[in-house]
Amino acid sequence: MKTKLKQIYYDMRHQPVIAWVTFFATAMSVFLIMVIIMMQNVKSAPFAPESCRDRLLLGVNLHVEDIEDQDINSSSSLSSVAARVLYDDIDGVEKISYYHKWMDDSEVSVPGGESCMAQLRKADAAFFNIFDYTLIEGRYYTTEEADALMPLAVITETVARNVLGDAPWTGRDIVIDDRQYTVVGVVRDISSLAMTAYADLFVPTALSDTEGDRDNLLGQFGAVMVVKEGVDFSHIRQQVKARYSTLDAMLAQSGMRAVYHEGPYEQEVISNDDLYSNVTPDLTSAKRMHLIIYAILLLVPAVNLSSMLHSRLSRRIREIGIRRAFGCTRKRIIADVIIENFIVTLLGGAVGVVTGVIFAATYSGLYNDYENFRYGDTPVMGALLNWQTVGVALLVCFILNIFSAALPAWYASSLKPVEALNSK
Amino acid sequence: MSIIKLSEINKVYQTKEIETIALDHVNIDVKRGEFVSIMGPSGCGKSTLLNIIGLLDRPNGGKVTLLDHTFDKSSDTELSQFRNANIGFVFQSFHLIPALDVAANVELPLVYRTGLSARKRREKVEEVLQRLNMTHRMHHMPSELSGGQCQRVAIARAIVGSPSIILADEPTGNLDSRMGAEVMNILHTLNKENGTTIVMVTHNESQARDTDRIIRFFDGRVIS
Repeated sequence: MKTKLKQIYYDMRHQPVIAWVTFFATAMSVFLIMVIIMMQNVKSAPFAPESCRDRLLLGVNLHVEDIEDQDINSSSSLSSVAARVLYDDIDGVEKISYYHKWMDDSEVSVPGGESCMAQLRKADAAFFNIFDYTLIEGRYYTTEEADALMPLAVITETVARNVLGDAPWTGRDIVIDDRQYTVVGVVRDISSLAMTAYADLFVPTALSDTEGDRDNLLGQFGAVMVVKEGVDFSHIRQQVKARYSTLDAMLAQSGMRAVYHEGPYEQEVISNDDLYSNVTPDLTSAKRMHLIIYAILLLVPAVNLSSMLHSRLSRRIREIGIRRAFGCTRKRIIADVIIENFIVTLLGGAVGVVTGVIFAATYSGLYNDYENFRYGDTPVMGALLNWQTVGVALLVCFILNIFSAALPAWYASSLKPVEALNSK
Repeated sequence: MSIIKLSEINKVYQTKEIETIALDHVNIDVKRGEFVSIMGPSGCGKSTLLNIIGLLDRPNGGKVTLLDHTFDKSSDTELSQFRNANIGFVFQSFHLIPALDVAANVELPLVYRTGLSARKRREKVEEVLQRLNMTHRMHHMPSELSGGQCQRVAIARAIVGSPSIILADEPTGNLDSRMGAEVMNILHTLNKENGTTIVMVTHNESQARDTDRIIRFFDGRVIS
């Protein structure tokens, strides 16, 4: 190993341009892949307040269609009735909360004061039981308060500071979209990467609130549930699927029926960019597409690195001849080239990982798809960077190495010893 | 008893337009412990012959027998292993690996030998360098050595694995006469003290005369 390191050091000193370009190209490739992996990671890896992502199921969509003409259809989130029919009292569910799927971009101010914009989420009291927010002042509203749709609000620290100034904040009144609320609790800012848990303001809702219900069982509700340890998601889905017959019975009068699309969905499906309420999500295709993108992203630098390695090796042909003369086998030449290149790739990869960490810490908000999340760009390093990310970065180094080194290594090993020795 | 036996060896270099006969039905016998010189004008096939004896190149026809082994059907790996165990090379231009220090250069053949620990390898390297008075240069890079010192390192590398055969291709060709004489002394000592068989290509008549036998080459043929 020491000898290989010496060889690499010698190469870097004697072919500095090629060596450093190789080094930084590797670093940038690994960094790029890491950014993409992190973009995927934040969509499914658990982190506070969405610490239960691995047991989380979301039932947020309903698709209804005309029984006779399927071109007449409609889809959206659920009405309070549909939410209750589909998700109340499901076996295997530990906790469930109903909330408004879509947030409102709301004006918030102190009464008579200047307003600022913030994202408002209507949620029942159980919402705070599912997601582990950090309460820094006051309390959450209770089930009774939520059921009574009392004008109470839980707000984030930044909103509290922006709107109310210095603490204490609880007990003070704020105006959200022309309606007055009393602040009962203040939570630490929520990362905008927590797609379901995120909001700047929370106000009560409950299934008794039918204001947002529309025709055909469509409305504004979504259900978020934490499945009990050890319970398979399919067990939940089977029960939900069976309940579609109840929806169909309710819709029959209007000549419509509900179309089941394999819900409720786990975090990975929900975070998929191509999730539509009237289409069954195809995670396999999405994953395949991701793999193709990764492969292309790897292949492009691999081809460049391969040509650079070839160039580096062409200056070492005589050395290869010497090694062959003294008993080095073809396999050993291939292994040596790949190992040497792997060390360079790993060193470059380490720089890429460090760059990725710095990037993650600095620009975590960039991983967010939602442009109008206002205050939540707090870094969630745990979700962006974990052993899986580092493991994949290492794997990327390995694949990059194999892609880029295989051909030059084979070329180097296939040289006849006598030709290699006599090379200029 | 023959340690090297070449029977009817042919070597032809074929390009699109020209066919060059480098070796033409060459027959050579070298006995164990013999120090043989090969002489002849440039381009007569001396180095080609040495490459074929050293299993660095394959003949187009004929049979090579080294230490009672034949190699007609040997794989590349088998040839490599045989070279590693039995043959040491000394080249005119030393062929040291510039990225490695003296010790690592000398260690090279041992690296490709299985079952030798790093410590054992290091001991052997030190032993050989001591014998060639090069211990003080052990951690120097080749670029920091004189030509004579480079060739001594190359000889150390050639003998560190205790091969039965050393093939030297104009080992003094790049050295001044004093250094050349020093290198020749080392080779003679190896031959006498260790009984190592040496086949040396040279243009130097006086050095050749000091060896046991001179094989003269012309146009790919042995003429005497």
